[in-house]
Amino acid sequence: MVSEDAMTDRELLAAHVAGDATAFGTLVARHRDRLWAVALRTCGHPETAADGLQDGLVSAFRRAATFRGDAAVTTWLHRVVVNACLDRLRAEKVRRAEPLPDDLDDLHSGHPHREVAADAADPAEHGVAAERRERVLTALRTLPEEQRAAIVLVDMEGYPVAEVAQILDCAEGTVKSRCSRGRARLAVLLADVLDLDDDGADPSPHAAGNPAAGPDVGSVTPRGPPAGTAVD
Amino acid sequence: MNDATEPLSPSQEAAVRRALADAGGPVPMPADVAERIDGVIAGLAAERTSGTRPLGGVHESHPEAVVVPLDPAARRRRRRVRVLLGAAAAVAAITVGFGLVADRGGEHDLSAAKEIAQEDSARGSAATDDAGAGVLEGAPEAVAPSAAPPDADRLYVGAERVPSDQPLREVRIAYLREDLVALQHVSLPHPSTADYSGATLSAPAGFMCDPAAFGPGHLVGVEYDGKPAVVAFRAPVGTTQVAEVLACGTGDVIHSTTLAATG
Repeated sequence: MVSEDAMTDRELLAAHVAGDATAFGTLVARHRDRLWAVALRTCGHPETAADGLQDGLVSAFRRAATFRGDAAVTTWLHRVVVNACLDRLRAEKVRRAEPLPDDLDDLHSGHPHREVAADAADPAEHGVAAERRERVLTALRTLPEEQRAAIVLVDMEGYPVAEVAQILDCAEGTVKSRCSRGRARLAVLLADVLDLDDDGADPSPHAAGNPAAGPDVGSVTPRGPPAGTAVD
Repeated sequence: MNDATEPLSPSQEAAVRRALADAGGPVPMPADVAERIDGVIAGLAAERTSGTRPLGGVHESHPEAVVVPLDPAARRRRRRVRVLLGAAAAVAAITVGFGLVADRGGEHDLSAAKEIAQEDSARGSAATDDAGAGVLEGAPEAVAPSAAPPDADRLYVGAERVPSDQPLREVRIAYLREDLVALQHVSLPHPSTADYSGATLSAPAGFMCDPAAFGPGHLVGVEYDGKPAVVAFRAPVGTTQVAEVLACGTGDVIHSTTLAATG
């Protein structure tokens, strides 16, 4: 009998569909930090992220048999979770009848994001990298949810545009457009902390040999999480 | 928020993307969230072990959509029994009325088929009923997405009917959570007396809904998207409870969400 730890994601999902009682839990445990990161950054608030992640995983559990196998299991899981998060955000937006960023400002007791984005945190308390990271995450929360989801998946999770289009159920051009608009907004919010290279080097690992003209809106990192976690 | 922004220079865009990549990567899931997720998954697994809930039923990319079999032959075979739920309250001798219903779900089926066909067209693949299971290597016993269990009608009819004197409540997609929470507090028995081992259906007289395997729990008849539907409150797991909006006739999960358990 093969240990579940040694099984691929696809094998775990297949085992779950076949009736294995623990395979789905093993699959989720394997990717939980990455899924949590996507949910958290897409939702912008821990409580909403937890609810969205839970909704998504309940759906994934129930409709595992509909997984067609034409994408990685992690892509499929991301798709389910991101869509559940976006559903949550849309419902909140309708309920509150006000723009999402204002919602998030309200939820983050006393830390309006635009003010935080404009006023740097105390550099004496944090390292430069940590400070910049926090500034980026704070600025990210001010984006409209669909721009934010595209940015999170492409620029933070490293998914190719084509795969993000599958996850978000939209055209690749739409993903590129959302990324482009989101980056432009972030550039304004993060102007004082951005590290501008004089040579305008493309951060994409695939940029070698590419023409310099025309910004690449694709993934900065290879497919998968920047830090590298186990995938199938 | 003003959407008007000037295009970024290549160096600006690269800098933004570097900053985002640096801020990306996995984030450790908080212990309380992990515990909650584990509890929900354990509850789902236990529910499935009971053998009353089929896997699948909601399309991979459209969790909000109801998926129905697309095969016309299958539709013809699937002559469904209509149950007159309201009869229980009005006529003591006839608690549940049966009547054969010709396939009148054509419009709904076409709508679902269109959605699925569009997606499959975009992917360059053909829609097949067993596509999901077929591609799962090592899953010979995979369950077809929309396969109705053979005892679906029995499970449905087996639900204990509790006539409600309250008007039929509407569950709105934009207020899904709020409506489900309200329904939860209005419809569920006190936690100390609640029994989730069977199926109890509460609905006002006159509520009509095609049968399906809705599974165990407290079922409440509602109106969803202008049509009758059933909300199933599953057995609480720890401090949470799964609530599902289920389609009449198929039992497919239209929405699934987790609420704080009452009490």
